Amino acid sequence: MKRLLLPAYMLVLRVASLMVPREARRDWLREWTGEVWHVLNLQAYGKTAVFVAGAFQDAYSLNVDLRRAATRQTHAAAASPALCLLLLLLAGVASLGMAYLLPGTRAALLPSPYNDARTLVVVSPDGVSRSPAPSISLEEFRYWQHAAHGVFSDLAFYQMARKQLHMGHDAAVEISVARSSGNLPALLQTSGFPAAGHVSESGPRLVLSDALWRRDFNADPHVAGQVVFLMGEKATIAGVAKPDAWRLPGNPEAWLLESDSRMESLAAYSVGFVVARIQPSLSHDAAESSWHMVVPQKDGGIAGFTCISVEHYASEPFVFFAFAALLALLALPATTSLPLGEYPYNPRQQSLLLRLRRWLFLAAKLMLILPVVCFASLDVAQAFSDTQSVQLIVTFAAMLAALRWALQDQRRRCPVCLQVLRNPVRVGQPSRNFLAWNGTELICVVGHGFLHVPELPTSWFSTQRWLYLDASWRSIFRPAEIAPTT
Amino acid sequence: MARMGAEAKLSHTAALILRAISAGYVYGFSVMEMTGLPSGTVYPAMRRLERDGLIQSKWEAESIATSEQRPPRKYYRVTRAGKATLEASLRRYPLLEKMIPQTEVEHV
Repeated sequence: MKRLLLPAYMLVLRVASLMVPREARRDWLREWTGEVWHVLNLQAYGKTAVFVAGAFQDAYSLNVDLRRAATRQTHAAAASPALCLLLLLLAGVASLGMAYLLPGTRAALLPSPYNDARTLVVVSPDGVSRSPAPSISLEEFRYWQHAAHGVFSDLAFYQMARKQLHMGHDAAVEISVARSSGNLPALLQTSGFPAAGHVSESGPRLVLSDALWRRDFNADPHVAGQVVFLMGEKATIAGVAKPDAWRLPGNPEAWLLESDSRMESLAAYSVGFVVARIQPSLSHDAAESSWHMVVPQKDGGIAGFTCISVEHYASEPFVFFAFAALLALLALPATTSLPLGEYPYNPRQQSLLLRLRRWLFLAAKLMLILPVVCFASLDVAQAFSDTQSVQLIVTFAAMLAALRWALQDQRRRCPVCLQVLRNPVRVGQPSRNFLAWNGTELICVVGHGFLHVPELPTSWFSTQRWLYLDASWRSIFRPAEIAPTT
Repeated sequence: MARMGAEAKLSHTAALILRAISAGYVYGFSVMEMTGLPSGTVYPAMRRLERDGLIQSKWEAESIATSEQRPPRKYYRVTRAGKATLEASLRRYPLLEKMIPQTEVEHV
């Protein structure tokens, strides 16, 4: 009889085991197999069927318990402070990575390719230096070449234009070209530009940007020396500039280096940019990044010009960020309350270390928010032509939102374990607000305490309050979740 | 292993099972026999007591089961936390001690 019943009961147990999660199934089946064998061995045939029927209930309850435990673990992980900081860190790394990929933002992150970038300046009339535009006439440039030796050791002129580049075989592309005086590469003192030779001897030289060389010249390694037509004249390709070699105003795809005689023939009223090297005797102060220049005019008046260091331009996005972040910080009290709540001092449940940890957590969040917003705003601004304005607006909005979130997140966390509080419950009635407590109550699932958030701030309950739970409450919390409190 | 505080409150059924294991009824079926509870109640309750760290299970050595030509059994013992909880439960349910007197022998 036993020999016949045992396989049948084993089959029933196998069916019941299908309810048990896979990871616990083998152990569960092994235990029930052993137990059924012993029950049968005791010759309790009548009891065995009832006994085996209980396996279904056991399998079902084990299934429910394991699923609940998994859900609880997921919630605990999502509420943990470590995950919060990790996500912020990942967001920071992602936005930094994006900034390195975008050409416009990469220049702000990489060191300057120019030797002594502090003494390399862009000259602009007073009032327009913050947003450089072509504003210096060729006539002024020519005058400075002769009269400003005491201020500049060398200076170059360039104009931005969109022109057709003819590459032979009827192939032509429209490119953005910087038409400049031949001394521009020498003035920049960079290894990013190829040696162009003496321009006056061999006619105009053309330096291609890395992007143009790859796009329209198929990255031809023998491109140097080829002759192309640009602006109605022949130009010899001198070579290819390295990526990120250009940090001055304008976004040229090629540089046409003209001889002095050709520059002399250009119209005196045409405007462009002037780049210059400040005389070493004028740049003693290492912190100085701009110089003011006064030039007497033909009409007897005086014109003011500002010489802004290229190094300053490179740091400008971060200056804008700091300014917008400061504005957001000032605007923060208008959008949310700054106090984090009332947390009564409790030496048994909050040691100095725990209190310090809570503030360090807030500081860590704020520290991680800064690079996230900074690099993300730089990334977004690259999609628009007016990058500075967009960066200011995006930084202000994102910083304000991020600071609000940081404070709100801090208020919704347990001051002891820093986990997000859960199970919000509405308590009281709004109509009885002046007579009794009315608001939302949240609980720390670990059992450290309750948070009372008033629905309407009153003179007797103006901000959220924390209530520590003593040891007598512990029995209602899950043991696995009980954490040390000191 | 999770630990439950000494002051943790158990239901009467859980306390009965814990008392049975403490008294030496170390297998699921023997606990059933002692308490009169069905298998569908005893085994889930024992799993939860083990999850809460009040009891600990251990598989019988394979060699013993093989030498006796039977499958191995899983047996349970009360942990230190379980003993403390049982003491608190016995104060709450004083009749448990009379229902299941303490023995020195393990019942199978």
